[in-house]
Amino acid sequence: MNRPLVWFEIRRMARSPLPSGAAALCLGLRLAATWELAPDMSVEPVGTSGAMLLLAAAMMLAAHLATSRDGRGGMPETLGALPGRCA
Amino acid sequence: MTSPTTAPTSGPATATVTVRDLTKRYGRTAVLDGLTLEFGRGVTGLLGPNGAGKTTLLRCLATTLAPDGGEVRALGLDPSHPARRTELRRRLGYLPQNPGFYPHFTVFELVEYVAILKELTDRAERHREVRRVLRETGLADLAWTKARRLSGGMRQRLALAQALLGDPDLLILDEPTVGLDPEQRMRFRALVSLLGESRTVLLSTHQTEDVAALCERVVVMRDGAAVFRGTPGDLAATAAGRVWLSDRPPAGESLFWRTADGRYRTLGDRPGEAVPADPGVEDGYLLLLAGHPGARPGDGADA
Repeated sequence: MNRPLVWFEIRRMARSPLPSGAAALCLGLRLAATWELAPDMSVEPVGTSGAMLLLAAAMMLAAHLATSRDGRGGMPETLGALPGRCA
Repeated sequence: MTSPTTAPTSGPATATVTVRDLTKRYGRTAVLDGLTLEFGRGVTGLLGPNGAGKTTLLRCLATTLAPDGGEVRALGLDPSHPARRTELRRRLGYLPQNPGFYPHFTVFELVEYVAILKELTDRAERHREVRRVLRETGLADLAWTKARRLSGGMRQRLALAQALLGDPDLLILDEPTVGLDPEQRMRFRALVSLLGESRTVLLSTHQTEDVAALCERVVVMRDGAAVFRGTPGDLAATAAGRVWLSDRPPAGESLFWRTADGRYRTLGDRPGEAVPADPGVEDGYLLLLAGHPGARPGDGADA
């Protein structure tokens, strides 16, 4: 059951506007910050990594929202009667 | 006639669900008070006023609530044992009273998510099964609609769709027809009656028409105990000679209401100038709950 569930959540995350929005924002910010500069490859990885923190934060937020679905008035009663639940 | 506390609603040889001396308390209130029941394949209706313990019983059977005492056996499995509980969950479908939804999921996604948790691991097979239950509940055209955009009746059908996943042997439905329009209700009845031919279906409802149309057996609960077990016909028969039609409202504190043709339907003692009417399941149920001597708890033959 775990593998289909992982794929299901990956597909949902890929469709979520959070990661794609954050990726577009990262790219936009990097372009804006370096538009008039020649790339300095000695510092470029640091800058890119910094910008990618935004993407990582968005991914973590999407993952958190997925794991806390039931806490937001989801379907605990329905899921409680399924074999995939250990309770 | 059978005793009110131990009568089976089907023969013990065919019983697929057995409940003995079941108790459940919330604080100092006993919601289930030594309930004993047995029923087998087919559709069994559960009637009772709010707070009678219907939902608590269904939750105990659906393994989402552990009873305080007594014994439950469903499909021959004891849900108090973790491995048996998991096995039972593989074979049951449950539509809770308040199913809840993830509003950002599409209809297909939501049913597929439940299908994954129901251990339908093969993707092609799972998608086939999801499409089947959506077709059966009339939701195929709404497969890619977000759950938040569905009407109340559509959400109820969505909840039913997830309960039908995996062709369960035991189907537990808590007020499944709430919010359904007449056409959807007819479709629901057709679907459940078909399912009841080869499976055990337990249906809790306030709609006596659903019980009369669908159920082979009916159990009436009050204050955590079963006060009637029998067929819908038996329940209606308990009101024989106690249902009256008159042109004027009865005097006193009789139970009555004005019908669509402007006459008054009275339950209980005969009001003056009233003519007898054929009793229905609702009449028997109302008289039973009113504690009328014409409808004694426990009356009714075994189904």
